[in-house]
Amino acid sequence: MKLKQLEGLVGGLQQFSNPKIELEQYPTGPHIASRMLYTAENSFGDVSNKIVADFGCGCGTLGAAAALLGAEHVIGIDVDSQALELAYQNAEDLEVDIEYIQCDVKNLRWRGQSVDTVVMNPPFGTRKKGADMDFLSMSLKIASQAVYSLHKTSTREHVRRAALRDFNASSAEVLCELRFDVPQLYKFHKKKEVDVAVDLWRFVPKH
Amino acid sequence: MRLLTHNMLSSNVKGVTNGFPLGIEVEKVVEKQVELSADFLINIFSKIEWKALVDASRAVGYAELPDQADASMLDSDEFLRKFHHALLELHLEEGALLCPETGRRFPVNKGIPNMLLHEDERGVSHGGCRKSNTQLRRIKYFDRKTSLSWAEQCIMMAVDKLKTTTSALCKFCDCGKCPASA
Repeated sequence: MKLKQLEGLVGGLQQFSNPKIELEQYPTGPHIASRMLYTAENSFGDVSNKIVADFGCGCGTLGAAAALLGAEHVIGIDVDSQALELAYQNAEDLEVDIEYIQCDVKNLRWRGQSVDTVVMNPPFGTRKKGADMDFLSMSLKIASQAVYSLHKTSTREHVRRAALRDFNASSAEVLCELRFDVPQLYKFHKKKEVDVAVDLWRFVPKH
Repeated sequence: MRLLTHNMLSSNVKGVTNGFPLGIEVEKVVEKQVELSADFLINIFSKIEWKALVDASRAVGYAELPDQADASMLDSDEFLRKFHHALLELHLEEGALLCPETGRRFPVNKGIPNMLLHEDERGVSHGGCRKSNTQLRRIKYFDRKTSLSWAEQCIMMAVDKLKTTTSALCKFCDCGKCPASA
């Protein structure tokens, strides 16, 4: 599948109608989502025929992109039942098979490194300090091949240090810097739309 | 929920040492056909807990899998078909998963298991405990005393922290390492 095609398909998905700020629900835009999964597949072969988990899946954009690129088994995990309902609907509309589990990512307990690849757009930890690190730590325990994640560029050194020193990563690489456009979603947003610089990371867990 | 997912999940209730495999309570099972990929099956085979898969497939009413399996059987097309069917085509649509140690029931609705835990069932690992501690307390005060100013909230939180440090046991985590539980 071509990048443009993928972007078009995930661009048609429904987004949150009532996003919850305590969960930092910001939808992953089709531009970022398609590039993230396209890179994972075409540069590293981490998607097709693999087991892929989408942590904090929200309305399910990243998981849907993985399924479209031929992942054998996709699992979306989110704590919010409304988000899961939307994700479920989105998967039905795209006619892709995706499994969902309702769980707080930091309370997950899985048997060993049972997933090949984790993709995620974690909460950036602006509302709940350390939420991004909880996601990263858990994903590196569960993935056997690679973790793809977005983190604010301003936290780059912190993310690298934490991943390599504390969280079981054998390598941590910034694949590219992207602009995450945050539309005016919440009441406390004063500007119409803001661009946040984010890094697309690829982490490789230790075995 | 496919049995492949069941083969990965473990009970996440605090204090449970061996939460795998989860028991299965069946109300409704559905079959969804998917294309068989031999490469995928051959790769995944070594990662599957065979006994758990056999038991789970019997629980949902499919008894064709052999009790024992080894990698040499992957040459047989018939075996691959059965393995594929059990692993990827049978879905637990309605029912529940059961923690093998505590019997805690995790309901499954529309194929989605609900693994959310109550506050007293959560064990927070040490990695993020300091942060989640303050965070949890802050959320608590936001919920309860929204009429208070920020300064008042901070004072309330400090008082609360003092209480937890003197009560020897930290309320929110059991790691024994963080300041609140010391």
